[in-house]
Amino acid sequence: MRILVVEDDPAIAEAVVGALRLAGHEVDHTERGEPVVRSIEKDHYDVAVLDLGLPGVDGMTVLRDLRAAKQSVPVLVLTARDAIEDRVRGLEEGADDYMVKPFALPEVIARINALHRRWLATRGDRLVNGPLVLELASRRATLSGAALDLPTREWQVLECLLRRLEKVVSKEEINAALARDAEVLSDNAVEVYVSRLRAKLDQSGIRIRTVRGFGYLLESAA
Amino acid sequence: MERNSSLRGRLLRGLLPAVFLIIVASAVFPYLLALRPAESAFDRALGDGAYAIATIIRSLPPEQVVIDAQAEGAIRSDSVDTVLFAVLDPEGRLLAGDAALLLRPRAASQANPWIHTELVTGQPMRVFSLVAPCGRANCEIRIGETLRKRDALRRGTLLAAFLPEGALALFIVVFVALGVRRALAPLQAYSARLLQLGELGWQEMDPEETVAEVRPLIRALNRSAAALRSAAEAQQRFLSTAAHQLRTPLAGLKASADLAQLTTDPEQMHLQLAQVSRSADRVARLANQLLALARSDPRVQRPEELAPCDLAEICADLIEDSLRRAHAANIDLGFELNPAPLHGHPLLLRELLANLIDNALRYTPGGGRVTVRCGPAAHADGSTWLEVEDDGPGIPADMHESVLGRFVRLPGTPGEGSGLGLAIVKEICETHHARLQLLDSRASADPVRHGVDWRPGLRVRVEFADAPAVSPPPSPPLAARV
Repeated sequence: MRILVVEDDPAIAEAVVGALRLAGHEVDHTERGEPVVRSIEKDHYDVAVLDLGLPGVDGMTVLRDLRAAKQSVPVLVLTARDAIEDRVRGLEEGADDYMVKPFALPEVIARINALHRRWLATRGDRLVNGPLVLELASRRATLSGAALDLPTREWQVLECLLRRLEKVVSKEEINAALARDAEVLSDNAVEVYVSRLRAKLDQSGIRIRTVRGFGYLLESAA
Repeated sequence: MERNSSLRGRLLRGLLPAVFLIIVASAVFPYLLALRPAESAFDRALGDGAYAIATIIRSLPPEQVVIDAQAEGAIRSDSVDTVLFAVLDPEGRLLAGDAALLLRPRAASQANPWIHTELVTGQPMRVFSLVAPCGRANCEIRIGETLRKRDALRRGTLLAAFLPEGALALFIVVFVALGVRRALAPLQAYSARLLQLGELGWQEMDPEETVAEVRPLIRALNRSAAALRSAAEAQQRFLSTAAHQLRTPLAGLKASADLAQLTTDPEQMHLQLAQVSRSADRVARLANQLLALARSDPRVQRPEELAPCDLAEICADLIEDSLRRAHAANIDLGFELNPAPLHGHPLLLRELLANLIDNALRYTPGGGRVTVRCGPAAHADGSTWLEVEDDGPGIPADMHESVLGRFVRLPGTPGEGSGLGLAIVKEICETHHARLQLLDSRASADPVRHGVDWRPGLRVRVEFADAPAVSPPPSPPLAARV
């Protein structure tokens, strides 16, 4: 994929760019925010890696301008440890994920891949995760091309998890997604739907992990 | 303004006006008291002249009134002042004496002799008027004298009254000024001494060495100097330990890097580079923790940074990162989060939770279980609380106090912890006036689980006493809501 790296520290930039190129990606690197802001309209990247502490136009401004220009490119924000506030603001301004320096390179690569997968999975009118496809308009689900029979509730739970691929989704959030029909759901209703979904996805390699006491996480198909 | 002026100025300003007023009053009264009787004596003597003339003219009708030369000489005899006199008939015509006294119409009656000061031919004179019988009619007698005698008297009295008082005033002023100066001298000498000592840093001073008024100040300075010194010493200890702690992984890092440069075997190089990476991780973690420690110091916290927050939300925010690590370490990480509102520093609370979870994941072996819980106060004067429980090796009860210190690690603990995690937690608890407890895990009370691989586990519980369980805090300024 095409990746933009905006990072002013030469050592970090070299390592990130090098690692991404090793992984077979096409990488552009810039040390400043200005060129990104200037070419917002015409550049199309699959993922952007953005350092918040840039000289001149700072990362937060770049992020805001990107989103203002309706660029939906997934952004991974890099931040220094003493600026946790930045993280909160960054997510509010439309960052998709963040990492605190210093970080492990393999994890950066993994996060970038995850961002891209989630972006691909939720693009357009279908949600995709490996062999699993949910056609939103026609409400048709397929697994490895074969039709998958999903009752409304199960569809809603799966859609909820797929939209937040590889992210923790709390039981309350799933409940809120289900409660649209003013029907009172029992406490363990979500658990029941999840266990049915697990049974249906059993052979596909797609796993729904339980976060004990909190919620669920849909793992990406390897 | 007044508050900051000098003591000497304040003393002098308080004393001298009073001294001045007393001196003036003690001169003015004797002056007035001495002047009055002397002046009336002069007036009476002047009046006596008029009565003498009255005796002469008593039996003479107005047309025969005559003051002979001998009598006139007697009337006018005065060694100092010029004396004028006049005898007037009932119509006010001059019968004898000086016309200069006729300028004023008749005013006195027999019953009321009249004395006053008026201008006669351009100079002020004391004039006495008396109506006296002359034959069957009433004539008026006026007699006047210049004021030379009286002026001399006034000057003399003034001098007599004010000269000694002036001298007295001078003495008082000099003595007050000297007294104030002497009283303040020990203070000035002491400040000069302190100034000298101050260049060497504050040494403990004996309060008895100076005047009573300054002793409380010296005691207060001694106390704050002692506190500063112990803080500086603690800082010193901390810095040297921190430097030592940083040096250890750096030494390892350097050694591995050097070794990697020496070797030509790619496999060996790879191993050394992995070691470099691990050492760098340790340094990074330590740097992060030192930063967290600096930020959580209760002495640098400002109350305006407090904001209403919820432990459950802060915790939920940490789930993803924690889960990734738990997954990698094959630890079952669970959450039992209930809304737990409190008034605190959101960033510090996040740091506290992150450290507790990190500790639990770090010391719990694979296959273990870590659970994070939080909840609201159970009753009105209860506490918002949080707990992080693991089933790891636990901490012996006799170590509970000491593991909260900085750079303290349990003897024989594996891994690469810095011994700062719980110290950070402790300081953040202090900042929030929260109660920090290290307890055995709940499972440890369960005999069924006491198998071969049984571990006591650790349950860290934090209770936030001043959580707004009863009355919600006022809405903070916008800037505080990060």
